Amino acid sequence: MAPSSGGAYRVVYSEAVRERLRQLGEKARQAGLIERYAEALRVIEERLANRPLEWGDPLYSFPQLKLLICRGLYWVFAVEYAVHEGQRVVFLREYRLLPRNPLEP
Amino acid sequence: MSQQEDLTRRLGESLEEAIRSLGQVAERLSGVEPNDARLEEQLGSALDEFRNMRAERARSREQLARLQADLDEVRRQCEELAVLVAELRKEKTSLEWERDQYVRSLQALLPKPPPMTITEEELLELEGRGVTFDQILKDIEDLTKGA
Repeated sequence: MAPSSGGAYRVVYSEAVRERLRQLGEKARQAGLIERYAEALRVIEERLANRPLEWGDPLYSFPQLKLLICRGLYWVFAVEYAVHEGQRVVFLREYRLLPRNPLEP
Repeated sequence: MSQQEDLTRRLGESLEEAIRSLGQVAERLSGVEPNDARLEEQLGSALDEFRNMRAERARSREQLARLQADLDEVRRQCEELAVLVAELRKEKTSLEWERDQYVRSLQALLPKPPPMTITEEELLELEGRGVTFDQILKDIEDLTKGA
């Protein structure tokens, strides 16, 4: 499978993350922020696909799995993801909301 | 061509025209006797032409002066804007530094996520059947349409 957005890394979302993003998108829609929300997801995707190791702060690594767990912050999101440097794959783990954000007033 | 260049060209042209007219008057007068009635008529007509040309030249000069003043004003504004741009650049640098500090503080304050409990096989499987960003975007588009 080729990188989804033409970046250096392939970004893989799980069904759980997809569902989470759907729920957050619904909240963004209700808050009148759906465009801003979509734009934020695009920016995050671009960063994950092109420079995941520079964007997020590394939290810890799993040498056996050859994974580095990172967390990047953008807008209202704290995005946790795992980078497999050898395979050039980024696994999205969780989209968390930062405290006091407009999606959960 | 700028307005100023156009005016300068027109001033040059009116000078050439004056020289041409003088040549024509001299030609017309060459066969006229000093007491000929046509002499006064010719001279009067030449005088009118010169007056018109002078008036036109005066108007052009005024316009040129106005344009020069406009140009000076625009140059002054450019200098002010350049100063403003430099100030805003400094402010941007400072804000970027402040933003990075906030991000670092947030990173430090946020609790570390629990360790992943996943095997390499599960990861590889996820890689094979993972959702792409295009699908995520499609979901968002559906939400937008439903808005």
